[in-house]
Amino acid sequence: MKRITIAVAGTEGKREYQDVVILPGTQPRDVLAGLGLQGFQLSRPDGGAFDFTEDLYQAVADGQKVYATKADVEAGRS
Amino acid sequence: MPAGEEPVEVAWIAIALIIIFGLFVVWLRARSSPESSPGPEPHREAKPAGRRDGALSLIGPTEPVTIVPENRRPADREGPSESPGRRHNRESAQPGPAGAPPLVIGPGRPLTIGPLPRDAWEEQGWVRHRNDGAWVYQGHYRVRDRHGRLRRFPGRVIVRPNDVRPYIADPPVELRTHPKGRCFMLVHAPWFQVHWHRPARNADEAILYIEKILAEALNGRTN
Repeated sequence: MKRITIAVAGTEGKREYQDVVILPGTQPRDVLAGLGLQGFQLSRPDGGAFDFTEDLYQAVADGQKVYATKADVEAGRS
Repeated sequence: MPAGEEPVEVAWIAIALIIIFGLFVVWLRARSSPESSPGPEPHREAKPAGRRDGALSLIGPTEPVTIVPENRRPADREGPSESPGRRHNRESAQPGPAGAPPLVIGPGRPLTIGPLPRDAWEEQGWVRHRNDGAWVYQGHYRVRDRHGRLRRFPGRVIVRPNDVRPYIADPPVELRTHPKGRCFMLVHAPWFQVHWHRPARNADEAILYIEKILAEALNGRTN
């Protein structure tokens, strides 16, 4: 059992879910669904984004903060 | 009555008066003595004379007495070198004298202070300043590569209303083979501007998205 914080990026800290407890085998999609964050993805603490089906429990440390960011952002040639 | 008997009678009366006066004086002295005072005396402590450790003196019912238990101040009885933690354990384990509740001292309530909610740019050490009506964010994009090394690339995000423009200096060469590599356009060496198809709405989204592209480029995978 690990306790993490999920913060929604760009909300200036107004939307933050503290004390989110995850159990072994929990995936990012489980957390996003549990918090009602459809259309978001979780960012890795050391850069990059989690796959939706990765083992989130193994990838984060106890007490870590993980940012959720909108998944519809995309670079392109303007 | 014969005239010779009158002085004798007076002498007897005088002796009787002296005896009565003497008894009166003795009674007055006895009354003023503290041991025999029957009245209440507040705040007297029980006399410890002749008392064994842990036993209390017999107290009469008419005398209000304040009893100070011997375990009232355990620190006074213990040596000064004894640590507070050890003293606490002893106090918890040892009951007081019969009838007296044990004195239990626990640790104070801990004060927990956690970090305040912060945006990702601030959490990652970026700084922000105002310039010509825009917010300018400066810092480093951070990505861990497949070898476990933390790579850092200078970054800048300029935010105006409805316009978020991210820049990166000296991006990795691996970005050339990434599908989004063409969206990084050199504007002023060594700075590249990232162009949007679906733009970020704030600096956090821009920073985290570019770190995601960099991680994909450095680690050879795309989401």
